[in-house]
Amino acid sequence: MWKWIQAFASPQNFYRISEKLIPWFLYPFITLTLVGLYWALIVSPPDYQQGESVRIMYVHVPAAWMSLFIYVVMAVAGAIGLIWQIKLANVVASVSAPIGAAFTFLALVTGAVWGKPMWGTWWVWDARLTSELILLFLYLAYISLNNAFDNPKTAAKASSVLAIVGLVNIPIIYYSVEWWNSLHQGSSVSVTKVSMQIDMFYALLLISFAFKFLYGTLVLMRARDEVLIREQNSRWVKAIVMGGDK
Amino acid sequence: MELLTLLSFDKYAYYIWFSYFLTFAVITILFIRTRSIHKKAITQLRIKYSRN
Repeated sequence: MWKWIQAFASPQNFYRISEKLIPWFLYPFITLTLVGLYWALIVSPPDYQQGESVRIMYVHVPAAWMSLFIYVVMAVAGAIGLIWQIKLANVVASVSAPIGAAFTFLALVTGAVWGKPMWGTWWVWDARLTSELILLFLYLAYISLNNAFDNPKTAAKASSVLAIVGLVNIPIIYYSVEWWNSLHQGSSVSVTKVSMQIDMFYALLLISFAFKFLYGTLVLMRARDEVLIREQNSRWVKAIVMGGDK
Repeated sequence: MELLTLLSFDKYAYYIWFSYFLTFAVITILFIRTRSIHKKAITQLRIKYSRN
């Protein structure tokens, strides 16, 4: 297993294998999005309290889950890069950051749009919303730090430390609605129970998986370019670039 | 016609459609940006190799 990981993690092998992997992420993303939209906008019923506005949940909650998931991936990849010096781990961490920031932005804005008709306000400085906003700042700080150094190794070291330290914010976001009084509702989905109508749950699940596949597609596409840039002095990169754009 | 009525979503139509269009826009921008990063990387490397 370790040997396979090491073989896959070599930039050249990654570049070759990732090309074949992209369609395996892209097509499920498209399919799940279309089915998920059908379930979210047509099949799922309105909520007995929130009415039709509950449909915002199907983009807001998956985006918020992705914002946490991508940050954890980024921190774990950063830690792997720091400990085992695997170049590909640093590449995955650095290309994940803008995608994670986009999902965090989406979670915040759709949350505000959902909050207006439900709470009567776009924004409140409560624990869940504030900690999610801090997550967006962490992503932006990571991106800035990663671009602040000319040497990719130094950049990776500094930004990985930031990602690992920022990991403390993830349980704060997750448990904020339990630890503090919040206007934000508690979780309707956990590992042990689902407290929502089954069609609502299916819609949520379909779009969540669609976003996971979207992330996979984008990471693979962006990591391939990052690998080319970082390995530009290698002969195989020159052969690929001069041989034709792949 | 019935589908259009179904998709009008009561008084929340503006909020719902705005959220979905924003999501679509963000995903589209992510793909466009990914494509432009790719083009920039290839062009940059081609210039470098042709100079050498």
